Amino acid sequence: MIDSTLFVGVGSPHGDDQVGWLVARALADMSPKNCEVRWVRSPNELLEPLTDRARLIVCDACRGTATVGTIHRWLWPTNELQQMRWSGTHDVTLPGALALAAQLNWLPPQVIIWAIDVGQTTPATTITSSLNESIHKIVARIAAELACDDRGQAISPPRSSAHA
Amino acid sequence: MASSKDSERTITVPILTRVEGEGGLTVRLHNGQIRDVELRIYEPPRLFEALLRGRSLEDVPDIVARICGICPVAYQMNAVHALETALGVQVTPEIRALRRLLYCGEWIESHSLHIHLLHAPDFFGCESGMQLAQQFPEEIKRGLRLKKHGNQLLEVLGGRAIHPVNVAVGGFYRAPRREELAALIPNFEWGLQAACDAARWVASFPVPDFTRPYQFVALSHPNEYPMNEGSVACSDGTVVPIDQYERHFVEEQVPHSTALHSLRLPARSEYFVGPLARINLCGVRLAPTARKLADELGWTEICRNPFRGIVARALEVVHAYDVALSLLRAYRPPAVARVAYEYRAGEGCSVTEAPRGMMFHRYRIDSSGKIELAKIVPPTSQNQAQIETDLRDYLPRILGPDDSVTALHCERLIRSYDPCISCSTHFLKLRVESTQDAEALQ
Repeated sequence: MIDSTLFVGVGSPHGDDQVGWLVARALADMSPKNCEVRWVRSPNELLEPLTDRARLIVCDACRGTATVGTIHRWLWPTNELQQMRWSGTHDVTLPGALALAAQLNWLPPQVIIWAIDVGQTTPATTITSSLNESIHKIVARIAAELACDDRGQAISPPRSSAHA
Repeated sequence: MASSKDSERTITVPILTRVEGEGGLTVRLHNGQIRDVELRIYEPPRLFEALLRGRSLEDVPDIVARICGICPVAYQMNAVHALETALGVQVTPEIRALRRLLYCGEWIESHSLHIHLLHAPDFFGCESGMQLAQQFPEEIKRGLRLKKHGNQLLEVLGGRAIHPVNVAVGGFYRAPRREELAALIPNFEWGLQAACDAARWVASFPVPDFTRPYQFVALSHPNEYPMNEGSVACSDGTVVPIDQYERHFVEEQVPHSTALHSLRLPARSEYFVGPLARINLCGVRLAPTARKLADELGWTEICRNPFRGIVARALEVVHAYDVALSLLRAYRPPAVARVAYEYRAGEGCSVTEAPRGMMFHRYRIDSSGKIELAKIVPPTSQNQAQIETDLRDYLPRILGPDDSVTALHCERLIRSYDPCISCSTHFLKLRVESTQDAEALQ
């Protein structure tokens, strides 16, 4: 049976761009119930029918105006994604991929976007050490939400923007 | 963006979208006549050829794959073929078939992305694939499913969808299990029919009436539609053995581009590579379903309209599905996934057909397996001079008072080539500069 939640970490092996993958891996290690965990390189890879899921959770690196390590949480749809800087090949960014998926009616009823403000994404570099704490926090928050959902309790109301 | 003085007019389009990489276009007009067209590629040189020198030859397939996230297999195939020539390695028919299958995955993935999200919006005045999806949601969904199939094949065979890691000099690090490939067959059976429907849809697009006397160049193989092997064929009848490539084609630096321009000798003339060239030169060797569909769509003569490149690309998706299905059904894991070799000093070159056109690699290695020289000629640098020549001819037809409209028409023509600027070094901003003699102003 298909898991009701799909978690996707978007990233690459380059510097702070790894954060989406690191969150995905940490979450996979916890084997959350009813949640399939994936890590992908391009937001393009979100472009598939996901209407058989109850929820999509995405985590990616972003660059906003906040300090490195700031955690963001949004509930799709939100215009606030446009205020951040995202990257992707052929102009396909995370907001672009989600918008196209929404246009095609491929998104599940709930889409949550987590993001961490990052610094350098230089190839072959390690992650900025201060981000480790943000990764731990975000994993704990997502795990708590998934557990809460598994117990049939209501998920805490999402903050539509802001620093979570 | 436009500016004008008494004797000068400048039109600038800051960014050409929906291509890979960063570049620009400058058009200079004098007394209303086109004087210069420069496809400016200002992305910094990436210096991969120098990066490879001194590295172990085993590192090459994975390093060159990093040149492009859309067509890494093309770089890997060229590299392993050239290095195997240098080493005197002959791969088995089973490995050859697996490489062909891997390349099919890349053609399906790259072509489906370009057709549906990058190029098709141009034919309907849409700014993006998302806008086009409002008009054609089912067609875009179908296209994205096709792309996904290509990615799945790359994952199974290459270890991952982007920058595969399973390609080795001599073969593959690991041959897939039969059931891994067999699991893809139902998707590919659906995909073959869906690709035919996509090609019919694309063939119905309204296309500008624009033809040119192109010199088409593509790999040609006596028995197969070109992909991994053959000689270089030109539409004037010239056939160039792979090892003679550099006697017939030369790369030159131009001041306005960090990518080299490849020209054909002896006249230093531009030439056209890519799906349109391949179909025109080798269409008779398309796989049966694609050949039949080409006939159905009226592709019976040489097509010299670059905007019809999208139809050629769609036919190649059908071809790739057809070939891939045959290979998937026939697959048995090879006894040896990788042919062993001994280091020896030598030199080898290869030409294969990347999704956007012919690609050339040459390597020289020393007796300890280190790279002494590397040369890589990607398809976009081969098409650059042709794109500039096309624009010189096309611009008088579309040049009007509204620079943004002019720029849009230029972008559409450029996108019909599916340029990968990151590959050729590597996207597009248009600037038009116009001057007039003083007396012409009076």
